[in-house]
Amino acid sequence: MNCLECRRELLIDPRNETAGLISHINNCQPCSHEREQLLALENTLESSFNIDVPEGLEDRVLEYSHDEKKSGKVQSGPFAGRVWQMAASIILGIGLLVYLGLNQFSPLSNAYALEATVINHITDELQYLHGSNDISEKKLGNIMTAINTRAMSDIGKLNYASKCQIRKNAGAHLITKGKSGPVTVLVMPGEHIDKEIKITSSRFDGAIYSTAYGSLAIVGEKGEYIPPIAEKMLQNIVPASI
Amino acid sequence: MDMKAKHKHFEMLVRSFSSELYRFGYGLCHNSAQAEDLVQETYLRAWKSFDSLREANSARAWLYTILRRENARIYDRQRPEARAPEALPDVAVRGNDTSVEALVLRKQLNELKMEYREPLMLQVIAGFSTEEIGDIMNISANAVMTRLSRARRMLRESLQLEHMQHSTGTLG
Repeated sequence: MNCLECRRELLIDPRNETAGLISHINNCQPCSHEREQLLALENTLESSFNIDVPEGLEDRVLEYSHDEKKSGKVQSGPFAGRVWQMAASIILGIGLLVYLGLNQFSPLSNAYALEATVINHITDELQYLHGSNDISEKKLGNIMTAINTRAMSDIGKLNYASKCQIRKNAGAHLITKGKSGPVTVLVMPGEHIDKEIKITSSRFDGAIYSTAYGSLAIVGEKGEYIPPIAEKMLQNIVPASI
Repeated sequence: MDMKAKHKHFEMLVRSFSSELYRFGYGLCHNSAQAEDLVQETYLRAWKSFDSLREANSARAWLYTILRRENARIYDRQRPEARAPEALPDVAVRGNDTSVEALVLRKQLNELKMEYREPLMLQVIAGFSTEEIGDIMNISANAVMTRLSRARRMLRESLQLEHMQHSTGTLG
C-alpha cells in the first residue's frame, strides 16, 4: 500500500485496521500523523451525533404502536378507529375461541392461553395504565355487582375501573398504584385454574391466582413486588354471595 | 412465528434500536419532535411488514431503510438544507463536548449536503459497513466510499478554514 491509497482508505474509515493499512502506518510517519488527525476528527464527529435521546422514547413507541395496531391505520379518525378495533376484536375473539376449542382438554394449554389473554388485555389497553381518575366506591360497587362479585372493604385507591370481557366471561379491569408504577388487577369470574400461574414478559411481572369465583390476575411493571397487593385483593374481592 | 413471539421480537427491536434511530432521524430532520415521530412511524411500518422480515440479523438495516423512506415521505418538503444552520434548534450533546472545534464541526455538519451527511451518519452512528450503507441508500459501495471520503475532506477543510479565520481574527 502506498501513501495515496492509505490516505484514501483513512478518509473512508479512519478506524480501518486492516493489516495492509496498519503495516503502512507503522512505517510512515506522515500517514501516521494523518491518521491521528482523522481519528481526532472522528471522535468529535461521534460526540456531535451522540445527542441525548428523549426519556421514555421506547415506551412511547411501544404504546403508540399498540394504539395504532389496534386501530389498524396510521392516521384514522375516531369512527374509523372504532371500526378497525371492532374488526380486530372479532378476529382475535374467533382466533381465541378456535384456539381454546382445540386445547380445551389440556390444562397447560389453558394456563398458557389465560396468561396470553391477560398480557394481551393489558397491552391492548395500555392507555389506561396511567389514568389519574379516582374511582368512587359507588362506581366500583356497580362494576363488581355486574360480575357477581364484591369488594369487601377498602382495596386501596383505584385509578381506573371498568367492566370488560375476558374470554367467555364478563370481568373487571382495575388499576391501582404499586411501588414501581401502575398495577393491573383483572377479576375473572368463571376462569378457574388449578394453581397459581406466573406471568412474565419483557415489561410486566405478575401472577394469576385461583379464587372461589374463578381467578384474579395481578400484573405490575417489571420488578414490582406483587404479593402484598395480591394478598389485599384476594382478601377483599369475593363472590357476591359472601 | 406466533403472535406472542412476534410481539416479543418487536418489543426487543424497539428496546434495542430506538435510541440510535432517533439520533439518525434527528440528523436528517434537525427537530426532536419530528425525529421522535419518525421513529414511531418507522416502527409502525415495520410492524405492518413484520412477516416479511426473514432474518433477525437484517432487522437493524431494515429499520434504517424504513426510517429514510419515512423521512422522505413525510418531511422531504421541509429539507433541513433549506434552513439556515444558525436557526437550527440546539440540542444538549452527551459528553459535554463544548470545545470550539466541536461547535464548529456541528455547524459544518449541518451545512454538509445530505448526500454526504447521510452515509457519514450511517457509518458513525450505526457503524454500518460501506456495503450495508449502499444497500440502505440504494447506491453502490463505491459511491458510498466516494461520499464518505468527500464528506470527511470537506469537514476537515472547513475546520481548518474556520481555525485560520479564528487565528487571524485573534491576531488582528
